Amino acid sequence: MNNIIVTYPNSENFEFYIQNNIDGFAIGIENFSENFNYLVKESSLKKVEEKLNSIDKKIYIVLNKIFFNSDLENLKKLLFKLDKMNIQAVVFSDMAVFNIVKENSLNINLIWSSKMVTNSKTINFFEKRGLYGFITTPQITIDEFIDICDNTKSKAIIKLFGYTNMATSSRSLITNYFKYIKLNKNPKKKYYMYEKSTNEFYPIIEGDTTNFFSSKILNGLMEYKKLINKGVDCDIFLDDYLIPENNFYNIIEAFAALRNYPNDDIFADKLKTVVDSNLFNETDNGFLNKKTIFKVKNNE
Amino acid sequence: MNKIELLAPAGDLEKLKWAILYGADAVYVGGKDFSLRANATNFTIDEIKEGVKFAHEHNAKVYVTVNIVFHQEDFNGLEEYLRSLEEIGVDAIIASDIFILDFLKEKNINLEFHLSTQSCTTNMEAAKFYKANGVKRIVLARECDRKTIKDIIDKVKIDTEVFIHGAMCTCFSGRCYLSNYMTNRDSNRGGCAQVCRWTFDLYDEYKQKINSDVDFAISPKDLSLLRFIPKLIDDGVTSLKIEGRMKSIYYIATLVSVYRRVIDNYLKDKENYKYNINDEIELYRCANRQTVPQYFDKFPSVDEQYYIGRDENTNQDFLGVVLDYDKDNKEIILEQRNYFETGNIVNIFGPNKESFNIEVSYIKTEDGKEIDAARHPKEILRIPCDKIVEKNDLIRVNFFVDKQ
Repeated sequence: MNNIIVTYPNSENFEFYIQNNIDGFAIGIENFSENFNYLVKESSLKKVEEKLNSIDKKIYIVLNKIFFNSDLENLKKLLFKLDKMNIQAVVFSDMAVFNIVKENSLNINLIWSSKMVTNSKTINFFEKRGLYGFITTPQITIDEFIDICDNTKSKAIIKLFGYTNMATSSRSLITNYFKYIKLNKNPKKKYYMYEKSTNEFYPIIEGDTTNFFSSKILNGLMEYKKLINKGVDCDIFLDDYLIPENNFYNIIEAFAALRNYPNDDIFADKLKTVVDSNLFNETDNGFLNKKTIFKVKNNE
Repeated sequence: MNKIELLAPAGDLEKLKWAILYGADAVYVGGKDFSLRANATNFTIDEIKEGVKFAHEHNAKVYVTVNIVFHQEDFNGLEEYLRSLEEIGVDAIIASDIFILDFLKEKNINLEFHLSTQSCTTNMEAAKFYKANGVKRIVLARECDRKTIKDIIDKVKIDTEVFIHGAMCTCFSGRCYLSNYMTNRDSNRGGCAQVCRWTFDLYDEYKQKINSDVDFAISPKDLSLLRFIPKLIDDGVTSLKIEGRMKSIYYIATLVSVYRRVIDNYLKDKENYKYNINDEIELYRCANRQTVPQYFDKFPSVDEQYYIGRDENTNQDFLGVVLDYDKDNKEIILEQRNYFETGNIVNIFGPNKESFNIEVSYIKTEDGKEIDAARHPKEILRIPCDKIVEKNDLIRVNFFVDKQ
């Protein structure tokens, strides 16, 4: 069974998720996570845990920041707290998380999510050291993902919907620019970086770090059928970051319907219509069907 | 005396030799495969072999970058390649994909593993993990400040490599796919198009353009830790690394000789060591780019960024390469690189020597004809010089404040 995981909403109403058979939530924690519409305070974690356990939904705590030495003490405290909670897994990017959990023998499933998750050998390296699962980077193709699943044993997760983080800078790039041009920066965090030659607008968000996002929302939902037909045992992650709430709900609803009938074109067509009407011209399927090149001389 | 390594880039075999001759303790090179900078010249296996032989003859080391982030299709040939590097006797590989650690063990290949900066190591816990799994040295993320570097050295007790000079990535290394999205070139497999050097327009959340004549830029100034070399040595850093495998011979020779001098002068007499502004001028003139310490001493802000385009004019300082010295006629035989004329005061520098000035009182062509100016690149010329110079010394414009 392929579970569907979505980002945790800023809402107490879980009826919608229950009706659409959403299996789990990816939860960001204030000061430890970024690129979430809503971050849960550490002090509210227990309440969230109780709520989601009561409706039988899985909890994935996403600690996706890059940590510095000054963060480690608080990170360790949080992980010890999570060790005592009933959660499915912690999703991490920085090896600090992996090391603290393993060195202290904490009872936490670890899911690695990073731009480095691109091949089965590296995942196997971590499997041997106790990795529970992985989320591949969206910069690989769907065929590469399937090949990785065929050559690994741990839980595979693929993100099939949402904006893709292209890069993170620790610099305050928007603030710095406004200082330079001597204008006041809007307190809002969201801006767009416009690239002239491609006529694309890339969302750029400045918080503790500056994050760059793809100009188009990744929509790989149509690949679900391929995954099912190839017998790939993986979970599907849908990410609402920077996407209007109602549009995201409509897409969850349409995908939940398709999930039950992956080979029924009626549901696939309906999902396509919902995506088009909700996010007209704002989606593409990223690199799922497009390889990147790296030796320009040989390829051009 | 602390041992510290000066590590220089070498984009090809010639640069490798120059870097070592000018004082590098070690060089890092990329092979034709599995290396970032896929579009650089890079080394064939035979060239790596020759480079290692040359380096070892000069008591220097060679590290080979195997630093792509592998995709499923990239494994072919890896075992043979690593085995070749072992046979050649390279001193270590610099890799970012951690599976190579297990791969080396499984295949019984004996190569020291240095973890690339692409792995973005910014804290002690991550460093502990890598050490426990067999990493011998970590090339720390350029986002690390002095305290972070020192804490990792003191508490994890692992060898560290720290960038001291060169271009900076805007974003965390290994976590940047700007190039993939904007050019379809894979940054983590050597195709980085350096998108962070481009200029853009900035729009607000309603897609209204921020009204300014200045383009939105995200490019940082270059890094230089020249002022902090004594601190880095005292803090116990293992290796001081210069960035720039695609740079020129003049750049490599200049940077290596400056940093070599600073390191040696400090180690020779720590108490009386004084920072010399001429070293800074020498570095600046060579690269023509503004440098700052970036994260080392404070968190970077607007002053660490470029907004008006990077000042990267072609360097005209490099005048020629010494090919030989004619003792009988007291003349330098040189190969010209940039224009100079009679009456100019030029500066000559080389490995293991103090630089000095001479006046170009005449210029002769190969067949003895006197000319008023050196106009043609690669032309073989003679100029007078009472001091003996050596092959591979370099001649440049005299730009020093106190060497008129």
